[in-house]
Amino acid sequence: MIKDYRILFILALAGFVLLGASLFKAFDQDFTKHQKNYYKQLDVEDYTVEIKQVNVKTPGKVLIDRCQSCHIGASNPDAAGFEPPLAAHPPIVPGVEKDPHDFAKIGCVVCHDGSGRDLDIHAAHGELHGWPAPLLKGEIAQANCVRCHAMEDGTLAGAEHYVKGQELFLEKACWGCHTIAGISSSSQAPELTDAGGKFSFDYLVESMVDPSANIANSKMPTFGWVHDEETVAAIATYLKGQQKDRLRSADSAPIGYIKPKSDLARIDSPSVAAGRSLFAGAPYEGSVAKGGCVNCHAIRNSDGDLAGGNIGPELTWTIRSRGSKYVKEHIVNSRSHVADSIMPTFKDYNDAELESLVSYLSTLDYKLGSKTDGPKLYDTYCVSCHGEDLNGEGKIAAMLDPLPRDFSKYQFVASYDKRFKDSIRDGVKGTAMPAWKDIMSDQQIETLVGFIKDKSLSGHDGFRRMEVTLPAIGDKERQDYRNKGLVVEAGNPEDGHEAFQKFCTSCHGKLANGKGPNAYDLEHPLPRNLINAAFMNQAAVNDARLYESILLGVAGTPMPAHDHLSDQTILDIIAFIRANTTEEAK
Amino acid sequence: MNELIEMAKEFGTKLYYSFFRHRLDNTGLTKSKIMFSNVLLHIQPVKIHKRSVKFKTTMGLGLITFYLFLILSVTGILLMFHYVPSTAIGPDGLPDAYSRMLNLRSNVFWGGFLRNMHRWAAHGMVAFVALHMLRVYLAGAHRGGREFNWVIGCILGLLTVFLSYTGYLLPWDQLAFWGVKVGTEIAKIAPGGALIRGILLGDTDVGSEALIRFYVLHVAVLPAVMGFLIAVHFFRIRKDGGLAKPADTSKEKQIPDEEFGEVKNNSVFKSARSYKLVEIVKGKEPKVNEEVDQMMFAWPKLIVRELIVLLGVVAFLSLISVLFDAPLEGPADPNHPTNPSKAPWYFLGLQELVSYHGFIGGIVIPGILAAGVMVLPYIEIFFESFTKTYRKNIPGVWFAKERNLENALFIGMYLFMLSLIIIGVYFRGQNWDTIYPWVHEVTGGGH
Repeated sequence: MIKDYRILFILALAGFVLLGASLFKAFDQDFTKHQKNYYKQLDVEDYTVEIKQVNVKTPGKVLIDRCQSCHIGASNPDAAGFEPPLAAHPPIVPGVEKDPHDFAKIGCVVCHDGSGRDLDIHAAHGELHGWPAPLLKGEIAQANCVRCHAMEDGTLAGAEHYVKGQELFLEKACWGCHTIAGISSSSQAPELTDAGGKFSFDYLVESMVDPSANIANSKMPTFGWVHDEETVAAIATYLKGQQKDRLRSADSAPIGYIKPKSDLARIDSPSVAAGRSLFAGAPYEGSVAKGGCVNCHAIRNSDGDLAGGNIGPELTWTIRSRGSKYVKEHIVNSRSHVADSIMPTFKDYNDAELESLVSYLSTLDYKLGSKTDGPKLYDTYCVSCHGEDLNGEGKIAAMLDPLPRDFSKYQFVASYDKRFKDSIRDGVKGTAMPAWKDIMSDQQIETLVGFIKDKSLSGHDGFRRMEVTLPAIGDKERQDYRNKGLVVEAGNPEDGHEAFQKFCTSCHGKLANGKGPNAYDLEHPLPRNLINAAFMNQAAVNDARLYESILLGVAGTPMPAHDHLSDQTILDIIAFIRANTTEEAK
Repeated sequence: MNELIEMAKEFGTKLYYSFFRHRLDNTGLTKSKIMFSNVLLHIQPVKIHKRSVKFKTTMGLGLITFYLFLILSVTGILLMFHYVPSTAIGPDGLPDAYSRMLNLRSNVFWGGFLRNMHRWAAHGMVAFVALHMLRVYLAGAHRGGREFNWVIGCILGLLTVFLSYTGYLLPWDQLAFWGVKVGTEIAKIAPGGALIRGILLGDTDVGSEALIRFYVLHVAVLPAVMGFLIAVHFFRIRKDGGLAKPADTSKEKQIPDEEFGEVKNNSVFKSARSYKLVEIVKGKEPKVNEEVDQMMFAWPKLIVRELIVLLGVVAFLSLISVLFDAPLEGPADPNHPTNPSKAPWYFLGLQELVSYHGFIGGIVIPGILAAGVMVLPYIEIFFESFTKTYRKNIPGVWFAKERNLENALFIGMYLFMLSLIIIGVYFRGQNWDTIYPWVHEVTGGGH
């Protein structure tokens, strides 16, 4: 029994000690220690340790701000040399006698975010998991300047980091895809007008450095500059500053609140120099740059040195292969030529700006000599899309749709001889493959085809593809092979639709856009987009080719043979596909 | 002077006897009176079987659960002084309910500790309910006239889970919102679940109405029902003769009599132990057999041991609450689901099952388990009656050989649920993909 009393006594003691510990924890707060230290350093004898709270009243809300309980020396110049958190805040506005920001009135949270009412360092700095506004340290805090201030003439003293981010947003062509109200309008990618209100700084950085980190199927390219921390930090600061929910309105902004200039200075007479500036995303004669093609597209100078982004096709030969009309249309609406292009629509460009770009691109004249051998030709013209191993996985291939042809599938190379050369000479409409006839001579094309064939077919025995011909309608000799005795009739799109839903949609999708459920498991090349009108309506894609591809499959691709279908069914499917694209063309 | 002391003594005595109706000495009479003349009699009898105070008998699991309920009531009432069940956006730009959580963390003295106590006690209570149930089953204490008390216990268990679940929403942070959202989405799968969900939420989705309803359920309705059922639960144990025990306990090793404290015999019958005859229960003849020797005064041994458990629970909870803060994430945002979104841990086994098949995993299996466990003693009786395989039921004995099959099945069910919960808590990452906790950080809730 005595033992029980002892246990009871010990537990009672332990309980009191632990309750005491909880009280001690409630009393023992960091700010007490910091304030004592602060007054000791200042040699102040007579002081009270207290919570310093600022209630920042704004039209919308009240920011509770107790940061200066620890950061007690923030506005005391005598504390300039103290260790953090006691040190004085460095000047915000450079070159003024007395900084206009009074921390006793505006507190800290206004600029630095975090959780103002918390006194525990981790909670206050917003480090706990899931806190929507983690602390913004140092230069990053400039993101919040625009919560109160307007940007007069696009600049604000002391917000250099933010201004740099704004310039980079234009220079790096972010504006091409992302909308920020008043700056750009594009529906390609998520709108960023409230980016800072929705996302934390770290999230914004992460989304730039690794676009698929947060959204697994993000289409955003990984740009070459993402390894430059300074650039990324500046852009992220600018984006963090994009908040719909501002603390001040036009009436109460501390510095005149001028609406952002929506009509920026524009280029009004075309010139090569203006085109070059637009291409590079640099300002041109006072106009704020709104270009930046170079972020995605590379070009070659006359010595053949390549420079630029690895996201879109190289533009050295574009004017020669596509013509200036095509290029202009493509800038304004790329989908008018290539149905699945990811290139943003730059519909805001005026004629002079388009003309400038085209004239700049026309100055690119790099060309290989007529005696060039196959490997050199391939490495110059083809490698960026079709890849060093001829496997269609060149460095820009990932962003192209349809994907570049994979020549390592020798069955394909062996099967289509004429079509192969024609595609190089005349290009393939509706895809990124241009016509090379104005750049390469027939001789060079022969050399190139020879090179690819040698490399692709070496080590393989030959491959021979069956030959089939398109059944002629009403031909008594050529009867439908499954329903023997029936004469094939002209294809009926409605029957074709039914057959398509039955046999084709798993890969080509219900919309026939090549995005069926099974397409996601397939690898290079992916199912054809059958409503890509430009592709479907070119001369090379005739009914005979469609018939052959459906019946026998396409060599070296996931498209299987469909010899279980009757001729009539195949003709119906072709009629359905055709009906789709003529509809589209209208 | 002496007179004054006498008067003071008299006053003191009167004062004492106005509070208590017994002396404080070692006589059997006093020991009886301490129980009999105090409110203690409502909880404990005057005399208890010796094995009741042995740790092995119950491990104190039911008692711990009850203490956690008391602690939750006390801390809960204190927290109610600081809480508003409102999602309205306050002047600080945050929902009121969430803002109150921040206040508890930062402004309210001792508020963080209170919240920690409440949170960890709530999780603890769910866990101890489960352990208590396991103990009762493995010791065969659900049979022998106690079948209906088992059913009440099961209802209490479900109430505990539901109380914990309704409380889970109240902080109105991301963890709360999405944890509750997941749970209510599972309810949709059940036939009629959408209606029940609608009644519970008061809306088509978790929102301000749901917060108020969950709050009222959490602070008023459920605790009241629970308090009443606890009373019934305890009452029936008393009427069933205390803790379940085998008919013959004379062979069991017991705590020696000396340990129960000395009992001075002040009876006029010096040779006889007259107090033995106190034990008269209606419907049973006075106990004069061997068992009477096994009965001991509840005071002080039992009461002290119960206090030990209480202090142990308080001390342990205080320690946990000083060391670990209750989680609080960003304010609830219906537009930004956390990935993964995990329900509280006791529902994660369910969520894991749902990830395999909505209806079978979310409704059929847990439904069969919950209903089956509740009527388990009756299922046993049914089989025994209809197959005439009467087994000798030995209540109060751990792992009785006669019950090996039942015990193995019951333990198997516990292990099944436990492994599902462990998988759900530690091995599920974004998009419910399998992760390994030693490779990836475990996020998404569950606690």
